[in-house]
Amino acid sequence: MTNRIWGFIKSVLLIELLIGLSVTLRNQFRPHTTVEYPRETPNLKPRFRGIPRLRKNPETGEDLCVGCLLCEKACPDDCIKVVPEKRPDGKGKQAAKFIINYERCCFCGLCVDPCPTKPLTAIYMSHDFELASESRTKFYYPMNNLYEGAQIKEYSR
Amino acid sequence: MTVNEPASTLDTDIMEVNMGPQHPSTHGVLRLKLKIDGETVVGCEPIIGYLHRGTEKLCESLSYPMVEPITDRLDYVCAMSENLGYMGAVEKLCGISVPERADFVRVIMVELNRIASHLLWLGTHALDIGAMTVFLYCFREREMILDLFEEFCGARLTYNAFRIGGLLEDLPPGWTGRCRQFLKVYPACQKEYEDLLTKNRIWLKRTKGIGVISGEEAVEIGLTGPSLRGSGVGYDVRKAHPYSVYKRFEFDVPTGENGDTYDRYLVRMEEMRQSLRIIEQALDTLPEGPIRAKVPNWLKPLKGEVYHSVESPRGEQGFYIVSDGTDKPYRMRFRGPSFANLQALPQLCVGHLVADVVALIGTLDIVLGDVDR
Amino acid sequence: MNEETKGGAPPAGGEGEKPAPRPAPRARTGGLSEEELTKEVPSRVVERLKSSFPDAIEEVTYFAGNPIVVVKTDRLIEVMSFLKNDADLYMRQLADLCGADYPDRPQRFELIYQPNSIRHGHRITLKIRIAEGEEAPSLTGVWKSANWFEREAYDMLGIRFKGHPNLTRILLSDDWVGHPLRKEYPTEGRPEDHMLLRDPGFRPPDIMTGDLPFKP
Repeated sequence: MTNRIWGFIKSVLLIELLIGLSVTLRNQFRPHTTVEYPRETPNLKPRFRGIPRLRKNPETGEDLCVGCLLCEKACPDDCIKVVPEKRPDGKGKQAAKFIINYERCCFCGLCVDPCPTKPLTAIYMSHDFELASESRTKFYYPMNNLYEGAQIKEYSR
Repeated sequence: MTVNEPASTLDTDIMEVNMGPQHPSTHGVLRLKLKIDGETVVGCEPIIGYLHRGTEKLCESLSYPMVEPITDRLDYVCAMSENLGYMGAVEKLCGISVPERADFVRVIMVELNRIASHLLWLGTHALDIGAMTVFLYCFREREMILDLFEEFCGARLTYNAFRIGGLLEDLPPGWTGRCRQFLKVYPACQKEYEDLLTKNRIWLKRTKGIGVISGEEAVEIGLTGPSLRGSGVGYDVRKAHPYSVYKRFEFDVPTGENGDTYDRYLVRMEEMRQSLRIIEQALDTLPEGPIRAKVPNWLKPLKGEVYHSVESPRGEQGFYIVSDGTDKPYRMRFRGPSFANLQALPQLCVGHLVADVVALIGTLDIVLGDVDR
Repeated sequence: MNEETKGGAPPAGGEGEKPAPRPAPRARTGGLSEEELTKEVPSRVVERLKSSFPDAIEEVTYFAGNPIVVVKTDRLIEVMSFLKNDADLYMRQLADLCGADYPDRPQRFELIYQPNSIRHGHRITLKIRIAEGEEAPSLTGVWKSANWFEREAYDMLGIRFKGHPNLTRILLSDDWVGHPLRKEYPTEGRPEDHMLLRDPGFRPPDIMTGDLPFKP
């Protein structure tokens, strides 16, 4: 009975409405959490998976890729094509052509998984994710474009 | 001029109305053919398949590790559960036992993802009914979880986080601390949502007594997950057929009483708390050790077939794999919980107003990527 | 990411397919052996089924601790009603229903059912085999949830169900030709899209002139 009376008083005084309003009022004074994306760059974590790119040995500047085709075989989307060739010094192989079709790529990271060059893998998931383009040809990256780092895009307001 | 019209001419005609496929509240591309009498729904036929991508056929031409990114895209809101279910199925098929640490990390991820998924559900469900603020708050907290995921596996939605036999990489340094930080912050946030909704008069009016389904009926029609537990049937795959290391954790399976939209809301809110409990226990007892069993890259399972199911935030997510001894699955079947749950919609809708259909789609928590596969 | 590549992956270098066929597909899993996986496990459901329907069961196999029972097609509804209503089994839910296609077998299609007991926690895989053109008995009278699953099996494999109230395509559009999950249905899409990168004589496109090997 007391419960019912208390419930009646509550509903007359609009208690639950006031509780709700107090929640929204409290949130007015919280710090902002929004990142205004094109103007601010989002804070990417080290393991972030952007588009796959190729890497050179940072010490010697040589190609790391040994043309083993494992990434091509592991790719679920068939977006990698590697044409291996003999290295000029006769030891092992290197990639003569390495093409990634970013139209197909699903950013899964399975190509990095079997890469045999250790400890730095030849193919790696970079932090670039701004891929939008006005033409389909731009999604077809030949080998020399794969080495370049992130191309910073300028936005104007 | 006739004066005395028979009363029957005052009846309204039954009208057929399409809701969707681009209706904002259908959570994807779902088309409902509604038969309405005035404002009341008298018949409802869901028309699905707008997002059908042929994943089951696609898997037949991919090797076992390659299927994982595809499971991400079935139920994209809780990709971790899909990953775990698929990994579990393959590991069952091959008889691989996973290192303990990997199992614990998987459970932490899946439970975090359950919270994230329920947050997205709560936000959009409340938004459909008209509570805009909750949506913004839910997404703010979901962002914290997604940050944790990004730190662990590098992606925020399609995680591809696990590998057959364990994990690809261990937890990054300091991750457990940040996870604990989230566990500390989150209960207060959930209290905020409950302050806004649980006793809210509009919310009660819109959800209480809407879409009532009895436990027996719900089992019959194939409902699983929170939608089933809202009707009082405490069936949870984590308890009934324990997989991974769920046996070691203490948690309750919340159930509702009336089987209406409000009860399903309460069940999901309680489930988030239980997930927090599981994560806390897992973090406390996280063992050290290897994270990946020795599994060849080119996996060739024996001839055989398995059915493995996990409890995704939406219900029983089943994976049925037939192997013919090659490196590609002969038949891959994804049993989507949303597909089975959506089947109950016509039964729930009838007799309610068109505005309630929006609430009912929300309460079933369907993801169209999972329905259409 | 480290040791596995040495042991399991095909030899690096891409010498192409090896022509010599292997004598028998040997399992490469690093997991349990065949004997352990196909070991018989005691199952109450199978015992009950064997005692109640000795003539309806064609075959019982086990894989990874799960019994797989093949029953005769014409006895399916009887067996399923028994599983659903028997107080000892009480499998009130049909968790999944799907079809599979084996074109080499005389009975081409398999329908796989996963009934599930919520009260007792039983689980079993039940199968029937049907030939092409044959109709499978519809389970919509036993479980309501079979409705959409059967429609999906019809849509994907072209299996017709006798007694289904509304056997139409569900995921594909009504005017779709063919049934995608049949093995003869092509897996790969338009050759100009897909085989592009697999072609050994493939020439990378000249980005400057926009010379593309496919039509955008």
